[in-house]
Amino acid sequence: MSDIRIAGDRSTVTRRALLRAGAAAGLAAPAVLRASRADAGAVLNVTAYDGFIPPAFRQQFEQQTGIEVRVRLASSQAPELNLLVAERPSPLTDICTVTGNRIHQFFDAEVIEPLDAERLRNWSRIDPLYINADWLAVDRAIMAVPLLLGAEVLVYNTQQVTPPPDSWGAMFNPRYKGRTAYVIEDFLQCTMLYQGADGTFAAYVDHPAAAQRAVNAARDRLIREKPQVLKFYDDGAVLQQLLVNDDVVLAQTYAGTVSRLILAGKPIRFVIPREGSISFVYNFAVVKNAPNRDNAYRFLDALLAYPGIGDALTRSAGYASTFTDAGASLTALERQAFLLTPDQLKRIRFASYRAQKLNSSLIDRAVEEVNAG
Amino acid sequence: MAGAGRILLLAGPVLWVAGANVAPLVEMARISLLDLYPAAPGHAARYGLESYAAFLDSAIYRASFLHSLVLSAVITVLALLMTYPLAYLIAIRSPARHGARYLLLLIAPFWTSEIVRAFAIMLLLSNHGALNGALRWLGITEAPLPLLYDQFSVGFGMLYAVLLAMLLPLYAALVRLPGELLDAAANVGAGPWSRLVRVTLPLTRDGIAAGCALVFLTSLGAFAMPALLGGAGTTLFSMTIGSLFASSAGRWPLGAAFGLILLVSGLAVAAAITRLAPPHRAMMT
Repeated sequence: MSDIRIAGDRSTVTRRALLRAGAAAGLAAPAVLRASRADAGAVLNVTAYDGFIPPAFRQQFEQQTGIEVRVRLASSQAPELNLLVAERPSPLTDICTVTGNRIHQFFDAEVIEPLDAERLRNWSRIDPLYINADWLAVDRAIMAVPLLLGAEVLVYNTQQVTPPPDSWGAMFNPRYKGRTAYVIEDFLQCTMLYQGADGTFAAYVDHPAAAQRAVNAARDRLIREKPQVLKFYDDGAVLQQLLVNDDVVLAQTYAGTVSRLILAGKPIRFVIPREGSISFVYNFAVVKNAPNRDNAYRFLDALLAYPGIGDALTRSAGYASTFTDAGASLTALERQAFLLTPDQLKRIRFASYRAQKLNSSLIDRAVEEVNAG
Repeated sequence: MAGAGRILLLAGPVLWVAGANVAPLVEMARISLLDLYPAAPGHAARYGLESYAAFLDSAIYRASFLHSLVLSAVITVLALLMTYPLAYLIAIRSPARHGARYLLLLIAPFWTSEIVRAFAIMLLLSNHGALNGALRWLGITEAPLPLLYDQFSVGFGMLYAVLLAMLLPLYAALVRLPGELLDAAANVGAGPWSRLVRVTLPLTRDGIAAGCALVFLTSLGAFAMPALLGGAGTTLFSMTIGSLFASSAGRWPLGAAFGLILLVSGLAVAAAITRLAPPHRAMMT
């Protein structure tokens, strides 16, 4: 049998010993890897959007409880749902982010479970408007903790777009050809509103053929007007880059995406057009079969109890919060950058959770066709 | 005993290839035949060829597929034309002891992530970027030229991304080229052009074929560069496939089918390229 000698070492390693060592290492690997498992000790796994856990709160929670918060970043709902579906019934996350219109979809897909509301104190800190919303409950059981309000807005460069736009139609103005950007999935619904259809899909719950016609009309408009748009984007950072470099002067986005630019003094503002915009509430839900369920409840309870959590969330995530004291500690510029005015709030409409399945099936297909068309 | 040891040593790589390469493809092939995935709880899976039929039925998807094929072919030809002289300089013209250093210098940028390189190109080509800055400074333009989010920026980025895949096989083929053959050709009166066309190119056909096949396949599957540098009118088939996997409406089967169509098409073209340019081993030895 041949030997392998290791230089500078008096020991002799035989091939058999090498194979034995390899086999032992192979057997030991699961034990080593287990240390990073989802249910390893005092940990909490959260799938959240960027900024949805204020750093100061996270630090305090970890120090006080000894629970390590591990964050897996998500950027949109569909891929997050796909990931959670793929992981069931043994999920790798304890808390996930779910928008109000998708709560029932997540529940039907068996990726979230009803909250044990008794385990959370301080519900009174959240605006009753959201606590009592019909989308938050399934069979009267509260499903999630509402945190932030997202609204689709029309963002514009104040120096290059005059007068300030007040309609989604500005995106189709030839004057701004090749200088607009949008998220196809979202702007399709804004275009539906612009064309007089119901972009929330609430009117189409029992009328799928009408929904199909409305989606097709919006899709055809976007395909026809493709030269009007410079870039379809998915990531808010890409839009920020486009606006800073003056590549685009008009765009559809969420209010929070451009708040940093407004705070930085860039000539950027946003409006909710007169046709209205689609809005939804971001929530934290406990994942079904969460490996660290107790830690999840401790986290949510601490979040609701944390002083000034509403504005802390607004500052870190960029969205208006759902808390009763929202905006109390914000400066005038921060209010301009983060919050919607009462007039703007009157124009928002919530996406229908009842029509979410219909919405997904039609919109997703239309998105592919606009993208490829 | 020696046989058993050999089997054990081979088992690792074989399992790795099967697990990391073959198994995901088999799973994708299975998903491409499903009617819905990810499926809702309680949904009974049904197998069929609907996803493949959807590709044939849709002019939009076929156009996107053809766009990818044409762009990959153009990138391959441009990469060959741009990289061959470079590989020639490094392998033939530079002193042997410096060749590896030059190669290392060219390879070094590729140690960074493709995303980082894409953002670097965005900074280079943007309205306030270095290129537009230089053009304005030289007085060539007054307003910034739109260089981003179109076919130019996609081509620019992809060409840069595939450079290495072309350079390395070409260098490997050129560095093996016997110098005596070129000297002999010169001695019998062959000029530089004649030596290139009648000696160098034929003897490096295997490197050209390998580089072209690699670049074509890499370009066909490119995602990050076209996604970041492209605009509304530059959607490639790989991006269409990506959007299908991001859907929550159970569109994975369509994405899987399109992915396999792209893979098979790419492999067929790569096979044709290598068949068109078989290696001339007999002349090399």
